[in-house]
Parts: sequence; structure tokens; C-alpha cells
Amino acid sequence: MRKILGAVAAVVLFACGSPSGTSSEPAAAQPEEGLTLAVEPGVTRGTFLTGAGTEVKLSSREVEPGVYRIEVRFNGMTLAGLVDPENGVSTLDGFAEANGQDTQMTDADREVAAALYAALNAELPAGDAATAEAKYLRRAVGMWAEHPDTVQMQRTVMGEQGRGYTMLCSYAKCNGSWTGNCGGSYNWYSYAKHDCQHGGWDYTRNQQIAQLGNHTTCSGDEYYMNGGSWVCGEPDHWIRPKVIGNCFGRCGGGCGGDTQYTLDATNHDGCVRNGHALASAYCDDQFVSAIDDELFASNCY
Amino acid sequence: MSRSPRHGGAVRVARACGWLLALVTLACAPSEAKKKEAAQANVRAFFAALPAKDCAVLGPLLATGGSARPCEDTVRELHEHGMQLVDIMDAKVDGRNPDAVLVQAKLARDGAVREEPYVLRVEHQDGGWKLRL
Repeated sequence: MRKILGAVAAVVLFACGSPSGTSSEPAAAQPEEGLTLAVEPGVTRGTFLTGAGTEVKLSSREVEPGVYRIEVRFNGMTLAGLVDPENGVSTLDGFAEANGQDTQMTDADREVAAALYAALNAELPAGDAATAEAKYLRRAVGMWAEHPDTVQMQRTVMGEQGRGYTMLCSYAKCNGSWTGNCGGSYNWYSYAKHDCQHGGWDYTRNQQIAQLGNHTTCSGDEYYMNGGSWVCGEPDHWIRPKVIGNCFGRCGGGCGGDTQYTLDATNHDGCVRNGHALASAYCDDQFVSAIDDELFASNCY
Repeated sequence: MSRSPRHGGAVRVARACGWLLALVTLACAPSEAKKKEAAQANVRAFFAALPAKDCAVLGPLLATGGSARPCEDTVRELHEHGMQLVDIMDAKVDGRNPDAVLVQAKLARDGAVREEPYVLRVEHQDGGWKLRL
């Protein structure tokens, strides 16, 4: 009887206990800090170790012609995506690795994803020069790096140009060029808009006049016009300020490896770079609207 | 027809497994259900008390530490935005943290109900369930 009770207790403890038990397996050799990537025909995979010691495992493989399965694992979480760019369909998910249950992106998760995104941008060829597997992996990681807490991880995303996303490539050029100084010859987009506690889309303090594109930056930030002078930083609900820099309007955070300039990405930047934090719930709707842009929109150059 | 001793042993093992399964279910299921209920009750209580803007009541319902801001700031911002709870759609224990429940709630901002539910995090802190905003 005692044995049976012992067995019952052991089973209950095992079934209900925390999955973070100690393992008797010998520790594997730790990878080096930074990104280790293998790009082969049909598959890109690798590991990434952050400065804080978080290990990320990543892979992207073509599972059918033109269909890519993306998987990124870290912090006990699996981020998964199945992307079919030709048909503009994708499914995305994020769940706990140990039990497959739902989980939520946290500040710590976004920090790791943002570091991985920066490493992918540095390592992979820019734009369409990257293999398709690598490109969609980079785009998905860029999207997860900005994923707010309050938005569900599991979703189906449909992307169709003109219906789901609108390209703004022409506004990313100034002075006839995609990059470099505008030389005083700007090509303003009116308006980057959002809605929040201050007001709706039409409220002038929720609007910005933006020069899109990769034309300037100040310590990784943008400039805004203040009394006729450019100031480094972000305005906070000013009345239609002019803004430029740090790849305003580009999908993904800052100047990522892809060059997609779209309406929803512009509005998302107009929210998170206008007095709201990246993960602010006020910018949730702009984020959700921009997911299909990030996954499916073409590179402008 | 009598059962063979071997068959009888198999029946006893199967019965024992059945009991074990029942015990595991009893030991685990109510705990998870209680967490979800408590988390949903916390969300309902917070939004019910929100119009009064009284942080003596609302403060103990909010999680502290980490990225949490002072109760007064959180409440003021929610008021500015006219946030109201419309319905709770679902609740799930966070797969990475058994002391956190993810509550899917429909919220209205300035009277307009957002189609996509918000994921609200409710954490077990100081013996109670607290909403992290």
C-alpha cells in the first residue's frame, strides 16, 4: 500500500510540478556569443547567443515550393511561422516549449528578438539578395521583436497588395535617391497617423509629416523639426511636426535588412516614435495592421 | 468462465492506472481552473472599480514591480482613453509561468469595442492575483 501511495505521490508531483526541474544530462558545450548561421539550399539555420547568455535556436526551411517554415526558440518559448508569400497567407504562433501552452511576449523576449534581428541584419545580404528562407526568417524575427504583450501570438495573416498593405516606396526617396542626405529637397508624406488616449486618427497631435527612407540618423534615433531647426529625438504629440531619419516608415525596427516602406509601417512608426513605447497597447492596432506588410510587401530597392 | 490469474493481474494494473489518472486529474484540474477563475475575477473587479478612480481600492488589484507604474498613472491613462471591460473571452495559464494567467478580454476604448481581444496578464503576487498593466 505504501508503495502504491508513493507511486501516486510521485506521479502527481511529476504531473503537476514545474517543468524547470534539474536535468541529469551532461551540459553541452556552450556556443560562442553572437550569431552562427548556416545558409544552405532550402534551409537556413543557426544559433544566437546574447551577451546576457540567452541561447536562441533558429531555422527556416522550404517545406514545399515557395512555402517556408520558420522556427525560433529561446527563453522556453517557440515562435513558429508558416509563410506562403506567393499566395499571401501565413500562420504565426508562439507557445511554451515545455508544454505547448499559450504564452506571451515580454520585455525580456523582445530584447532577445531585437538583438537577433540586429545580428541577422548584419550577417545576411540585404533585401532580395538573401535567400528566400533567410529573408522570411529575418522578416518574422523583425516582427516578433516588436510584438506587444497584449496581442495574441497565434494568428493567420493574409497579405495582398492594395488590400492588405499599401506601398509607399516613392516617399522613401528624396533628392532622387533612396539613401543619403536629402540636401534640403524633401518628399514629405502626410500624415503618419495613429489613435490613442489623446484622440483619434484625425487629431492633429496624432499626425506627423514624415520623410520616409534611409536618409539620416542621430545615435540610432530620428530628427524632428522644432522652430526651424532639426532636433535629435522624438516628438511627443506635437501638432503635425516634420520628422525624418532612422528609416521612418520601414517595416521592422529602425533600418532592417529589408527595404519595405508601407502605409501601415509608417503609421506604426508614427505611433511608437511619438510618445508611446514600442509595446504600448495604444499602438497595438498599428502593429497588427503592419504584420502582413512586414511578411509580404516587396522590397522597394 | 473464470479469468486467468494473468488476466486478473492485468485488470488490477489497468484499474490502478485508472485510479492514478483520476487522482492526477483531481490533483491538477481544480488548481488550474481556480487560477483562471481567480484571474478573471481580478480583471472584473478592477474594471468594475475603475470608474471611481480610487487607488486605495484599485492599487491592491494591480501587480507591482518590473515595468509596473504607480496606480495613479495607470488609472489616469485608462480614464483618458475611456477603457471599459466588455467581456472576458478566455483565460489560460501561461505555459512558461504557472503563476501567471493570460486573460483574453474584449475592451472598449472611448465606447468603441476593439475587434481583437487584449491579452491581459494576471500574476500571483503576495497571496493574491494581480493585474499587470
